Amino acid sequence: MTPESILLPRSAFGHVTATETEKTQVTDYALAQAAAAGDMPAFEALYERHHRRVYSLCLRMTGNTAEAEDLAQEAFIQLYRKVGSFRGESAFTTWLHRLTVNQVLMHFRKRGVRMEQTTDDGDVPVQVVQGTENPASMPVVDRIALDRAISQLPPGYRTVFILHDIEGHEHEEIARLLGCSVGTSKSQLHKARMKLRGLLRQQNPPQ
Amino acid sequence: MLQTLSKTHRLSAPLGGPLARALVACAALSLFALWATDARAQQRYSRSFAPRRNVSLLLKNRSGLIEVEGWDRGEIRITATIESPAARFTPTMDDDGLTIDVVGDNRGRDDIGDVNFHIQVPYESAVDLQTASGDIKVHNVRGRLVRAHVTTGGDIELTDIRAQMVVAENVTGNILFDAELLRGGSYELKSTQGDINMRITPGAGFTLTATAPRTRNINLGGFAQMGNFNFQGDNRRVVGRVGDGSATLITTNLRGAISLVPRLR
Amino acid sequence: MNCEKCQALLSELLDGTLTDEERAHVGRHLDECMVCAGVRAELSAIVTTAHDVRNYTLAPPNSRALWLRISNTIEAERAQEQRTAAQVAAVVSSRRESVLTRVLHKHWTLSLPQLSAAVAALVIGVAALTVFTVQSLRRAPPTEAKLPPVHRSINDQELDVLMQRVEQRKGRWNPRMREAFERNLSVIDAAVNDSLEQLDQSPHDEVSEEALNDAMSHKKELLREFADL
Repeated sequence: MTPESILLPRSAFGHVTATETEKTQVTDYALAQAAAAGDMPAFEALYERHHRRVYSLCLRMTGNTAEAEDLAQEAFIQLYRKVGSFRGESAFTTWLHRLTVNQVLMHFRKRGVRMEQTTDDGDVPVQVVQGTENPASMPVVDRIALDRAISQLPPGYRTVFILHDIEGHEHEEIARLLGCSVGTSKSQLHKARMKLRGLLRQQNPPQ
Repeated sequence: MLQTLSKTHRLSAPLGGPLARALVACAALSLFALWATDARAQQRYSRSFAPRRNVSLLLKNRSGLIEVEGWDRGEIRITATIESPAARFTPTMDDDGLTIDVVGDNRGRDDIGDVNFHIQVPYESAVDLQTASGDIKVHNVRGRLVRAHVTTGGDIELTDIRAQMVVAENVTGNILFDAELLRGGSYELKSTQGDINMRITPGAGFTLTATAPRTRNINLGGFAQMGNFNFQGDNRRVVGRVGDGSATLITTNLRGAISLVPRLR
Repeated sequence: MNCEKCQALLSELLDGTLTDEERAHVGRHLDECMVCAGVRAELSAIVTTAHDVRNYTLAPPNSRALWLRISNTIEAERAQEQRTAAQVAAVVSSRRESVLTRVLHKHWTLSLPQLSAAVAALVIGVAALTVFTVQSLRRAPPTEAKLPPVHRSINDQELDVLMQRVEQRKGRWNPRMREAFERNLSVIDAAVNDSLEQLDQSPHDEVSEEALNDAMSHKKELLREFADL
């Protein structure tokens, strides 16, 4: 089901019929405006449209379903509190995404998760791949295998990889979000990718 | 009373008497009946599983003892005693590991009694153990994760652990954490009202956040001299760093004491 | 260029952030070195798959339950806000009415010295009020810790619902389970009270706020688990 095809619940938008909904496709901005004015059905429509993405982001960043549910819940409560400040300068999804990421990072900080972790073995530099390694190429990387490997990354690597390679943030923004330098963000990303490569090879060694 | 005693004495004196034989037989029968009832109630379950890709164990129990220990075989062996015949569980093995969900498998059933587990796992297994009530003991496991969660009361004993992430939580009951702290590892121990005792390898580098808001009883043992510690919030919290501070140790005991001692090796 | 340097630049090569010169160097090495070319191909596969991962979303285990928790919390918050607003409005209007009524209905005859003294007092009063307000705003932490009563009441309402469910199911547990539940719930409640008492004495005490959150989340977890047993 695409977000646009979701039928609106009864709301201050009037009695929206299915056919009208198909034609009009109420924008996120309009829903946000209505939610800011206290219209719960409009807020519920925003939830219906975006909760999967918010939950998935929390789940990937934490690797834990219970934590992800709690964080998704907190993200939507924050959304309700702040939805009035959404002015439509950026896409609603981008705005909500940023709010969710901040929520997760705040949770990490509370729990004392260190974001500048280098490797799980400590400060060991990325191991250079030598000619002695099995030269056969890595098996085809599928989404499920990658998701599983991501969950095994140390939190610092995982966060940078998700923000850059999955969510498409630039290093400058990641550095700002995490309070680190652009160089650190770049080097964390490279280490994360190399670590993932190792994990994927372990998961499914080349024949 | 005296009369009865003397009667018994007189009866048991000639051992071959028919009444005495009948009494002995009755006693034996009663004992057998008791044993048989117990044997019927206490079902025993035993099964081995060969792990697939990931060696991990997820167990959700309602009540009973959970014991998990690492061994040098490549299989997971479950031995369980099941108190009530109503209890059911079906372990499932997939690429993510072995799952035993006693809670889910018995949802809607009234009283299923205790299910006590003794599980042997390969050393490198990740173990995630949850129970509503009962003790959890994990020994000699070296996987990436050890998690022990008791929603109500139960002691948690984690001994000879070598894992990147350890989480132990209960409400009442003590927590014993005897583990090697790995570089970059994360260790979290939380109780509401049990004592938390940690045996840490001397020389391990870690940052500590220990909070005991009611008792203010935070004993740093030999570690007080090994690192820098600050007492905060009217001595209700200790924050400190030992060595390179690479592992993170967070412990909170809302109404009990916290103590650290160097681990004997 | 050796393999180590080449591999260190592979991520930047894939992201297109290398200079022309670096790219040329890396390119030459990759043409000659099968191992590094293999690593590049593998990293590229990871990056490509990661883009696909973004479009693949998972639903929470129970979306409807999650929505109910969210909406319950919001509704409770709104109700609390409305109650507070109503109370504030009532107090303000009653005070305003009484003061205004008295002021407006009074017949004022002031001499010049009386008038200037009154103006001076008004100026000093306003200045003192401004300084006090600014200082208290600075002192106040910019976080939501300013609203502990609201958060507490939110949790209370959510917990009430769970508690009702627990009460319905309690009769089906065995006595040991009931005893364990009751005993541990009372221990958690005692911990909640510890924190609340501390917060009454020092409302912005961070340790107590955290302890309260911890205790409340234990309680919620306990009730959630037992509400489903």
